Amino acid sequence: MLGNGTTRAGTRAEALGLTAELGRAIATLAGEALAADRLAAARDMLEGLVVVNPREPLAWALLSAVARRQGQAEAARLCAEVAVRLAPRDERARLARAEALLLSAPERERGRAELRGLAGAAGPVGERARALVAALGS
Amino acid sequence: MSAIPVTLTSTPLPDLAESPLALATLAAKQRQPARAAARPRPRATARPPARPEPGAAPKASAPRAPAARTPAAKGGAPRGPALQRRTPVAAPGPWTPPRSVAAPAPAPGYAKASSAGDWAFLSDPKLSIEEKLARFAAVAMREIDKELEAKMAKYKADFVDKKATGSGSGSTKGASVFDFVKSVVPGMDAVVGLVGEGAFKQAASKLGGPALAAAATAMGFPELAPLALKYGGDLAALAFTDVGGSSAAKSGSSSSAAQSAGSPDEKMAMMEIQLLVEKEQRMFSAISNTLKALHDTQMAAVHNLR
Repeated sequence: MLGNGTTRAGTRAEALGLTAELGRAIATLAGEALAADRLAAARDMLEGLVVVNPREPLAWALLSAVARRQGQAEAARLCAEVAVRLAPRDERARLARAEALLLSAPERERGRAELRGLAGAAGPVGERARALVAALGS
Repeated sequence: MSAIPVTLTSTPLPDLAESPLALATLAAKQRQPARAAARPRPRATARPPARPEPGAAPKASAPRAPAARTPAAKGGAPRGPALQRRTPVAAPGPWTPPRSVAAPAPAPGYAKASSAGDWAFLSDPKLSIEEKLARFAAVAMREIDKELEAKMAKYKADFVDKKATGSGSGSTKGASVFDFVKSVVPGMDAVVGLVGEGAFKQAASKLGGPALAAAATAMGFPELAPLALKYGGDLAALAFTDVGGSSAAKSGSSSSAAQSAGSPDEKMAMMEIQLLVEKEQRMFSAISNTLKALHDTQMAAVHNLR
């Protein structure tokens, strides 16, 4: 174990036999906890998930949302950047980064631009992006 | 006599009285280190990812394919455009299956779902005894869960559906199997209270059994993992369906389902379900105690070293 969640063969998830279905389901459960405003529970689950599998972009995106809700702008930005690095085309990761950028005054305009780019997306990501764009008056 | 190249090696020079064949063999051996030195050195393999500083936030681990795995990294001939790696939608991990294996795009960093026999892990020499015990518990409980699912489906067919087709008189609020389980299994109320009954039902309806089991473990209730395995997916609807009472009544009553069970057959069916749950709990306790005993044995050895 290399101490950063990976082994010479791969991640802790691979060593433990954790499949993608389980990991994504845990992330989904964490997302529901986040939606229900149970931030501590969501954070515990997501932190555990990113430790076990640092390559899961959804977990990083949700962790960014949790940190943002807890007022931790830097942590939110960092987690969002990790998510985007792992999945540059994932809309949820991009949305997490856009929302994290809004917390920083110098990066706010960049966040708005990203939200405008996501406004055309389908599903809840697009809806949230459009809502934020409308709320920001962009 | 042919000249023998003399190199600075540890091999002693032959005696002149030795046969020409031996001399030639020795000369060949002496030439081999020279050939090895002249051979191009292989490229350095990929360095392991740098360890983050203690307390530092996790760095952005950009997905990098190990250097020794791609032909370009190995120093081979560059591939044509058709064989070049395209930018994936999701970052691939080192678990990426070989091209000869037809498989859907796997999620990054996770283990592959095992398609071998359930009990194949027993003969896996790479697994520790603790890992085998844990997997044994999982497989054994899965078998019990299947039996439990069959019993619950039978209960639904024999009693729930029949009562639903019968007269729905009165406005009494019914109870569901979920209420019965809450009254039977200790700690269940705590888990439901953590997430709220509505959210718990929603999660149970959306997630599979293993996900709920992992969540139960993550939330600090590992003893409920076997129960969570059974209340995933399609069975959530069955578990939360009211028994008795009006059809408009929703589950949420704290009354035990056993109280509304009328006929002896229904009581017997619920008792069988309870017995299976207890069997699962006993199995889990036995495995847990065994793992604890193993751990205590190892810790005793560690303490004795001091």
